Amino acid sequence: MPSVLRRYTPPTCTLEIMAQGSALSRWTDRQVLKQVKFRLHFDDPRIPKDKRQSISGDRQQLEALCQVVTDYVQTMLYSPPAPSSSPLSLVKSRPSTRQAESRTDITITPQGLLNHELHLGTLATPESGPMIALSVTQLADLSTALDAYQADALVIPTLAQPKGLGAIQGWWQVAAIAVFVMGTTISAVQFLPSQMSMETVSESDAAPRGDEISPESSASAPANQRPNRRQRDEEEANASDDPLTDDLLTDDPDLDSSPADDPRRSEGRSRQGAQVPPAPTPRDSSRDSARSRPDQPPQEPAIASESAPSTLRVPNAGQREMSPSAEQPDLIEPFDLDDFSPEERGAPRAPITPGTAFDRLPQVSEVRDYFQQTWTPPSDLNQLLEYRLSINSSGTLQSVTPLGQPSRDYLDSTAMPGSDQPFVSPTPGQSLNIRLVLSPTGSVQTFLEGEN
Amino acid sequence: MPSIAQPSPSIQDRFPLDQQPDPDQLDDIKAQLDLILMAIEALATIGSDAVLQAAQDLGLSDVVGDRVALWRLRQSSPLRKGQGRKRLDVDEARSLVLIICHLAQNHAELIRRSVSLLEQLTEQDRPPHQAALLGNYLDRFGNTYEERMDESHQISSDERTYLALKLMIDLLFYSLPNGSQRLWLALFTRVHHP
Repeated sequence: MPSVLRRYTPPTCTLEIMAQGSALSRWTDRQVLKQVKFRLHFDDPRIPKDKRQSISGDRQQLEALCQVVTDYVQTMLYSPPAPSSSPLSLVKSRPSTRQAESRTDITITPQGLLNHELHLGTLATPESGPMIALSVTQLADLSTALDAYQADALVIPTLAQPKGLGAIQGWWQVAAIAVFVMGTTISAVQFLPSQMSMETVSESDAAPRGDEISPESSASAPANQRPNRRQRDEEEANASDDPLTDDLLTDDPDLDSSPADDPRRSEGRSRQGAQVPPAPTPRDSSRDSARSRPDQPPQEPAIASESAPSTLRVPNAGQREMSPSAEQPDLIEPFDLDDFSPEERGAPRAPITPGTAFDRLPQVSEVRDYFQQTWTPPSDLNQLLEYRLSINSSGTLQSVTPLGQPSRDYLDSTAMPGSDQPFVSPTPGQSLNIRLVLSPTGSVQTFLEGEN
Repeated sequence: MPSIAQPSPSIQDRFPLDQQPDPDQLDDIKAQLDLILMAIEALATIGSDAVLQAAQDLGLSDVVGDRVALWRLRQSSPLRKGQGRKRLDVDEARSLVLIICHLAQNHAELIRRSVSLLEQLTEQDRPPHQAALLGNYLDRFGNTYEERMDESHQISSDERTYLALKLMIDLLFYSLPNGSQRLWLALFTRVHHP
């Protein structure tokens, strides 16, 4: 009997990750979990229940879906705005050239800014039909769920590897998380975005979906946060025929409140528990000499402490600024130098801390440093090479995932360290996934993709 | 030797990401960053104080420490009125990315509510201005654009509306947990696919 190992529940869809058999009993005797499957329910509460669709598939199809959605969203974001010919065509203005394809024939085509068609390819069933229409909020939720799955999966190296011994180790980690979650009755983990709940349940969990969200999870949400599953079910029961309620068409009182209100009040609230990206870390010393305070030490990553192993964290109730009443206005006003005091006008530029935006752990820069010393681009290389490096807690390289055929072709030129060779400093009990980008010009970029 | 996995191609395979743009490319990035910042300001009715506070929250006060520094960064947009335009370096662009996404995450519910409202109105074939939330946003964005951008870069009212709505939808994705990486990648991809 399949057991649900993970469930991701943004407001308009539910992604369930399953493995066949009893995972918890198998970990002790090291049996192999061979079947990984997923179910994806498009259960937007705004859509009548009888029109909601679900799809399911295997791990390969899920990975393909992740890739297609990620690529499509990224392509959508970089597309320049404002086509001059039809500026207000929000529904059907875009050519269908921006497609993402995979060997599973899963594609997404745009139908304007707001609507998108997910063509299911091999995921299609007679019930689902060949295509599912997604609104942009549904697309964002789908992307969120898949990203969360990928973030979890990325810390399990075997999810990106062929079946085999590695799969045992990877799903052992899944089971370890499941055991820990059940033991502590906490329903959110470190990778859990605040907008979404993820559960890890045992195969004996046969509760109806409306009861699946734990009380802790619900209690931690702000009163007017995006509705969780239970709230959504309640809303469905009370839903009126007209989806556009009158209050949405009335003036937001906050938008009319006095600009004299102190804007820092709302910011102060919104800052509580907000996920703060880290300060950049040092990368090189060739900075602008005119900048002041050159001897100020770079700040430590503000979220370094969150990387403790096996830490489960319930999203902070104050993480999001949800309340309309919390929106304190502040006039948008153009300003120029004349508005400033002489001190402000004459203020020297502050020094810029070098590093990359995503150097939240020292291992990221250490990987970069390593390849900056070793990377010599082949003379015939004319495009970027990308690799996903999985680094275990001892700081050695556990696996390398070439991203794209060129990266596979040039793998031998990258001088990857051996798995028994010291690579970066040991991590505090966590494994890391780091994206490595090598350019033909010799530059090296690294980004943290996931940690566990 | 570590094991080698065989994943499907990533977006970078088709849209190469050059991490070292030239100054002209950085100018284009700066224009886009300024527009996105303008959109979140107009939607959330926040101003430079909130941007500076976000910079402080993120430990980026060294880059964006006061209104002068912020003004200089934003004034670097080639779309803006005024002289004395400076170039934008990668660290400054990165800081603005982090600030924008921090603000977007702080106002994630408002952004989502706005996009949902736009979906509903469009579905009912009603103009976005009919909803006060969207109407106010569009007015604020349009006025600010008209006020701050150079004459040569002025666009029609319909184009400003479309631009504002596109930026609002983009903000929905930037408000997601990995928004900063999405924005960073989108900016650099734009450079190669104008």
